[in-house]
Amino acid sequence: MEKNLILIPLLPLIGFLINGIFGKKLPKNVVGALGTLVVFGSFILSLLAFLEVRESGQALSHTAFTWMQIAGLKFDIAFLADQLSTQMMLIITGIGSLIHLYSIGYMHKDEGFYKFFAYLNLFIFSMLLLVMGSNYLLLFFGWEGVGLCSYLLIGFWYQNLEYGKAARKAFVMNRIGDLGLMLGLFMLLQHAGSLEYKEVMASLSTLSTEKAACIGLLLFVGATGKSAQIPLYTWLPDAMAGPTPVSALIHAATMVTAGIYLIVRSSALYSMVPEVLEIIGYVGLATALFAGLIAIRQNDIKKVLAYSTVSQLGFMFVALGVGAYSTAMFHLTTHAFFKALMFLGSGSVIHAMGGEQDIRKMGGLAKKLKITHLTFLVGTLAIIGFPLTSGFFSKDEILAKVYEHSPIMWGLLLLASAITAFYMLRMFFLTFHGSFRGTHDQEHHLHESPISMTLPLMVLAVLSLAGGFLNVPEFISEGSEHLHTWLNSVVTYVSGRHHLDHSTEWMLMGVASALALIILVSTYVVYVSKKSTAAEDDQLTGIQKWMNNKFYIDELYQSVVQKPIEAISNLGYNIIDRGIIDGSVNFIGKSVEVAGNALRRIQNGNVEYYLLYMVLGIFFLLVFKFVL
Amino acid sequence: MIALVTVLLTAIITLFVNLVNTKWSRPVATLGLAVALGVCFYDFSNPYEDASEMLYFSHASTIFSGLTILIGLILIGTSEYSITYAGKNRGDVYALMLFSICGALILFAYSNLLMLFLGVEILSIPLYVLAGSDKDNLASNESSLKYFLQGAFATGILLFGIALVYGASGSFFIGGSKANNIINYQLYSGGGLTMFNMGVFMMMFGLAFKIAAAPFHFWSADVYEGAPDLITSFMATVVKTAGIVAITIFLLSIGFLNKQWEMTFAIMAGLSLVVGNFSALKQMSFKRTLAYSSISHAGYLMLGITINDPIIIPTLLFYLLAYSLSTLVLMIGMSWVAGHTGKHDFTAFNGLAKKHPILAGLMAVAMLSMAGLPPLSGFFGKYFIFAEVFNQGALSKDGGFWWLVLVAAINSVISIYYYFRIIIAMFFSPAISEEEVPAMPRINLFVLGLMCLGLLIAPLFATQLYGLMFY
Repeated sequence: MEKNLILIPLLPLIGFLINGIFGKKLPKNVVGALGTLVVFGSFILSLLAFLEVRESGQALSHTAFTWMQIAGLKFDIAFLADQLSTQMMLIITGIGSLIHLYSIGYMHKDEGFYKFFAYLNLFIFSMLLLVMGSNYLLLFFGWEGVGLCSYLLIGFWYQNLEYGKAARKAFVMNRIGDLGLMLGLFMLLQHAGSLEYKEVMASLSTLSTEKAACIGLLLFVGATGKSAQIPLYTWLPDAMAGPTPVSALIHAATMVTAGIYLIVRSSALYSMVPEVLEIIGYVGLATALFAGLIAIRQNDIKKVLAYSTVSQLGFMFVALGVGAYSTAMFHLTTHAFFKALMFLGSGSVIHAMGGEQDIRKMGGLAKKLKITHLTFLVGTLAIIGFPLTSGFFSKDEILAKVYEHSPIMWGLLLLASAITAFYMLRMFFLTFHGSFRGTHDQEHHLHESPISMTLPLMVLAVLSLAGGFLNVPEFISEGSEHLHTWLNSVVTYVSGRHHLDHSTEWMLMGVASALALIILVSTYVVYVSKKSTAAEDDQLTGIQKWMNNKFYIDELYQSVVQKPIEAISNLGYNIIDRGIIDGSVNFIGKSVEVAGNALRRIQNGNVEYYLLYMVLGIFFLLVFKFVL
Repeated sequence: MIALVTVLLTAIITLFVNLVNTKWSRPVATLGLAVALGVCFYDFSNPYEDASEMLYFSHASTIFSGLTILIGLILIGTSEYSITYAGKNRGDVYALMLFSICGALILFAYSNLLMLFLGVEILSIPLYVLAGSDKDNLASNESSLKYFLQGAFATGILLFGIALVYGASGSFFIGGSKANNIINYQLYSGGGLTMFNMGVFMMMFGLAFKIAAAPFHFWSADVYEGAPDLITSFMATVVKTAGIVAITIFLLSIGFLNKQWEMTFAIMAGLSLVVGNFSALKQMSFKRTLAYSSISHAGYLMLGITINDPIIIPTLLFYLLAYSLSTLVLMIGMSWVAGHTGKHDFTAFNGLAKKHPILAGLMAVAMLSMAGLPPLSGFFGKYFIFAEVFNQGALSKDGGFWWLVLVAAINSVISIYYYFRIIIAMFFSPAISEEEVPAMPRINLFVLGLMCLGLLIAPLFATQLYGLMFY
């Protein structure tokens, strides 16, 4: 397997090349099948790699070739499949293949079908590079690659100007984060003289704390961009402009978790500087709360899910912040299951509604979309932490770890999870229960999606239900913290943290579950029994209006950042560029032209003149030489 | 040496064959040149030096001979249509071209100033005739007369220079180990240094005329434009190569003792660059643009010579190879298009890419190489010269001619403007010409393709080429 590691990212790349170059001429089912099969092939290979790592307990690594070698620096195209990578690889290729399969049904009418699959394959390739590279440079390569694919796919329906703008926004926001990442990597390179994980980690012992903190913060800036944390989260909700499978794959399950991966990968660095972790924790907490509040008053089914994703990513960062790396990875995994499920479910809803995304116009869909309804219910229960679902275990573990760290943080995070429960259930009930509020045409058109779309839903629903058993806490069953044990060898924890006793853990779990159940019942009463519906935008007042308008963060960024930059840019354009630079360039151009014209005139066709010029030439050259 | 004899015999045979059947003259001339090219390989392994030190065929001069013969071979080989203007006299045209090549071969190997003079004359006199060989065309006649008048003038200056050098040194010999070498003018009680320098300068001016270096370039635009396409191509390649090599041999043979000429030569190089490029900017005629561009190329080559060190010779060879190949592609392509539209203007090429994508593509490659865009040979030719001059400058106290490199670099940027005009015309302008340009014969297209391939891969073999020179 070790030698064949390169095949895992190579397969999707081949898929991308074939679909990208010949896709236009190939029939749609060939394009779809090829796109799906290459990713599935990668999944099988990842599974083999996973089994081998599990068998031997040793990481697989393979250096394909040396990429570049400059001035004492050497960068390899080298792959590493350790416990952390294989986990990510399985998520990426597993959920990736399901979403490819789903897309065959979802995109079947789209003209850009082949393009869509080519981009998706390219995305999987980049994402695999990101997690499989054995150095930060490949990680960065993949990081930028997924950013590009994200841009291409958000703006997939580029004829719509708004979508194009959303894609641009995502790209720009990510670039801001990337700058942080790059600076961090430069500092690491300067310190360690290499970007290989092994060598970087080995050199950490000589790294000063200040520098470590600086690098940690810079890498975190990169993570906030890619993983949509405050202050760079605003692109993710807009990214919903892309086709729904894209939202599920890129903007819920895989790409946005790259930031988590980066920090877990660098855990040895972060564990040196607990203060930085503290900051990460608070940023995560703020994001979790803030995005949750916004989600309460969103009425676009995908926007709700998007803010929910931002908020759940916040949960993961809180877990990272308290140094619980494996817990963050656990929640990352379960979140990938249930959020991909819900996005795909929402895609199925949108598909049935003929493109409608506003939950105020839905209602009562449960009767027509049975599978979608059931699977979506599973997803919702998982995210609100209904006992024994996957989200229950992962979220509970985060809460427990946070409680160890600081009860106040725990309280706030509990509030955030209560908010999560509220907005998710609100959306669920408004969509699937009550009476239908859309047009007559839409009601007539309602239908369950084809099997290629419902099959992934069912698979993901099973995973969302059972995914929690990957890591059942120790106080329930001895030796069942599989994921924790699995990751032990690749992460470095902050030393000297104490553990809770079991009764406290039972108590915490009880509180969280009770809260989820209470909210479940109360939202059922409000939205199903009393048949309340979401208020229209103009009826909202006070804080609700703020929440509906996303706290005017976009507007704030616009007036604080965009407007001044535009003003400076205009100034530069009008005075420096057009005045000085263009002016001087045009001047040079003009003078060259004038000189050319003048010289052309000298050549007047008369031999007498030519001879005269030659004699003058000789004369002046000799004078220059012998007289001057 | 044997190659020279072969070319000479070919010329004579072609003359007689033409009397029997005009149609045979081209195959015979082509075959003769092919044989001569083969003979060059023999010559290469048997350097020839005649006893009285008149000629010395070294490795370097044999390689230059090979290049020139190759150019002649390509030109004459593909001239089936471009020669039609000459009617029954085509054999005479070929023979004159071959005689002229003989002159070039002498210029590559001379070690005596008499041979230099003879070489220049053998090269030039057929050209005066050739320029006017399109007898019914007024422009051709005009070009011939102008060329002859100015050429005679330049020859006079050259001869004057040789006389002065002889007066100062009592010798015609250059290079070699003879005691009565021109460089030993100090031992001779003649006119001394000033007279010698004056002679060197006069000779330099006379030879500069041959390569159309400013301010002795005035003939070239008019003559290039008026002469038949075939002859213009010949002048731009063979004559340029011969002139450059002749001037290099002469200057470098005295250069290790006498560096007086360097600055003046550098100024001429700079002038050629500027005048050539600037005049080319606003031309209507593509042919005339190429004429000016060839002036600026002389400038780049002269820039190389300013370092006054024989190590530049392989670099010059590489540059000349790149320059000649791309010039040939362009000239042959132009001659085909102009032959059917009757115009040499840029507009004649409008929309060529639509109808004849291969021809247009090949011409575009040649143009890009001329403009010096990587990875084509034209880029490396310039790069090698710039690098040599810059390195040499870095070694010397005053920085050498780094400023001239700067001028050359700026000029190569300016040149992109007019080089791209033809590409824009071919690829982006709608066709306006009513005359249909038929497809070029496959074989000619194939030859152009080979040359473009050469432009692409030659840089890969630059090191080997350098090795051959000093072998």
